[in-house]
Amino acid sequence: MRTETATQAARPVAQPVALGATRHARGHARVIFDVLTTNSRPWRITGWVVFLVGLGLLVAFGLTTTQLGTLRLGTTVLMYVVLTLAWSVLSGLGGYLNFGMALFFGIGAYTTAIVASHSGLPPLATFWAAGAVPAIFAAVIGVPALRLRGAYFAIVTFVLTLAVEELVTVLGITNGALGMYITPMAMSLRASDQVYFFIFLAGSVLVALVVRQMGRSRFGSHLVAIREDEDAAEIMGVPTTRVKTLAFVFGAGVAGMVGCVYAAQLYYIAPPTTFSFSLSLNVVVAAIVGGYQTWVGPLVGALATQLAYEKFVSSSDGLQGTLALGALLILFARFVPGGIAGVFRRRGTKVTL
Amino acid sequence: MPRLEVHNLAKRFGGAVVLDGVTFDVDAGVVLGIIGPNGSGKTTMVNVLNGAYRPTKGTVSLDGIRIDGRPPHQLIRMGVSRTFQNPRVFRSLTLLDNLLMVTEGVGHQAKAGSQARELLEFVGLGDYSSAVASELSGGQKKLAEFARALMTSPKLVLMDEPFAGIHPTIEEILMARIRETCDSQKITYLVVSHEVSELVSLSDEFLCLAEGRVLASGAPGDVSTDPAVMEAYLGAPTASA
Repeated sequence: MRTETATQAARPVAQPVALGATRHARGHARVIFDVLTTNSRPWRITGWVVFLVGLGLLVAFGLTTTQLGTLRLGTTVLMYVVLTLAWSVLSGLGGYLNFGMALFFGIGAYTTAIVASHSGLPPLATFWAAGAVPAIFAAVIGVPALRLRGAYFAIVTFVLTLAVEELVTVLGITNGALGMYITPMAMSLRASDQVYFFIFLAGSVLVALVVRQMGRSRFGSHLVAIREDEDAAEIMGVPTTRVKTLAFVFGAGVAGMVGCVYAAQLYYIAPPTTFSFSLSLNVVVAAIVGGYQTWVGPLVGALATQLAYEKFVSSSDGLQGTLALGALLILFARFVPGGIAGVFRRRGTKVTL
Repeated sequence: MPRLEVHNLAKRFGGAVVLDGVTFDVDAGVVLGIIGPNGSGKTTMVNVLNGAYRPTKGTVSLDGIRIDGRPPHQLIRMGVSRTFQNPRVFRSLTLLDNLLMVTEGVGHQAKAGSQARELLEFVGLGDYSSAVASELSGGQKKLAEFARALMTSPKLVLMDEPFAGIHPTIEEILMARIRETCDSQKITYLVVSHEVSELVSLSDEFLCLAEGRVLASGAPGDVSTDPAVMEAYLGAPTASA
């Protein structure tokens, strides 16, 4: 039996037979979170204005604030913004859940410590090495690991983090469990806090723009196709292995660079704090809470989760806070799968990051 | 030289013999209708021809070049494209992106864009190039998939049950467009379908598979009325059917 509808039956052959066309009329009102991805000109301009004003306020705050605690919290939020954005390419667009951002972050931090201590370079000057080493590592493990799908890939990234942490704990070059010291920058505490705040602010803007562009490119479409139906994507000619590996390498490289800045900022790193599962988890939670189907989501998610951590975990009872965040994660995954940013998106719009 | 030559093609899954020595060839610009009862190996053959499965034995040649054993992403660049029994469009991408994602190379973005729009227009989905695929009806998804298959500039298009569960209006568009592109661009179509009467009117040649073998082949009218074919379909001699 064929299915028939009155609407379809009434149309002559030559006419388009799609239904619901009016829903795609351009220029419909969209809310602020989505404005940077819409094609509608007034909203796009509004979006950029909001973006630039926000950026201006953050710059003003960074330059003038005397509250170092708030400045450091801001730095942490921005660090997670960068990590979550980097994560969202493979995991948001591509659907491969990466539970190992700490792996690449840690490798980057240790690369900085090792290179800086052996070469005498300032830690921030090892930026490129800290990005390159985890990126190469991701390229090597990505090819076999990305053959696994769903939970299996997530497990591999998690287990690899543990394995590398163990390795770093026993190796001589990494100074084992004692950790490594990095020479701090010779400047006042406030000036150095400001420097790191601005590094992460600049990093957030840069990575956000790169990720946004990726989401709109052919590369982004390929990742979405992989997320939705990888077999069909491959059959239709998408070079799936290459696309997935590139997305994985990008995330790893950025995480490594973040690790470099983190190491320089703290000037002491140790295996459990750098290869920390809570870092990997924070990124996933930020993405889920904020929404990873738009590149605005990670901005919102990192802010929301880090403020929540600050409020709950650091204050009095750690367990209470962790439980609260766990509950939040479950609630979001179950009831708000698009995250905070997703709530404001119109259903059925193109998924752009 | 035929566009597609299939020689002694066999596919086994463990002990199950799904294709068992299938041999046929098709010329350029021909629609070959493939019929056969459920489980006769039609979909498996499509999957082998587009590279999703490796044949257990036998050869497949496209314009004289061996293509058996090659992966689908290579075959699509060599000109073998397909559609699926249940449409597999990418739901959260726009129709335009669904078409553009199969094109390679970055230098011809604008050209690919206009080609994709033309193809969507061609199948009657011109107004919906920026609609996301999940909002389309099943029949429209089939049209979109067909446009996507054409986007790869194919020599051979494999269509698995293109007419199953779609409205006659869409079926009419689909059949007309298959015929047009077959005649004008010399695309060869292999169309698997249970809608025998539609397939008879569309096809130049017919092939009936049963239990993994070619039961009959030739002119559509002859094959579809062949007593052995009718028996294979109905499971009883024609007289009693």
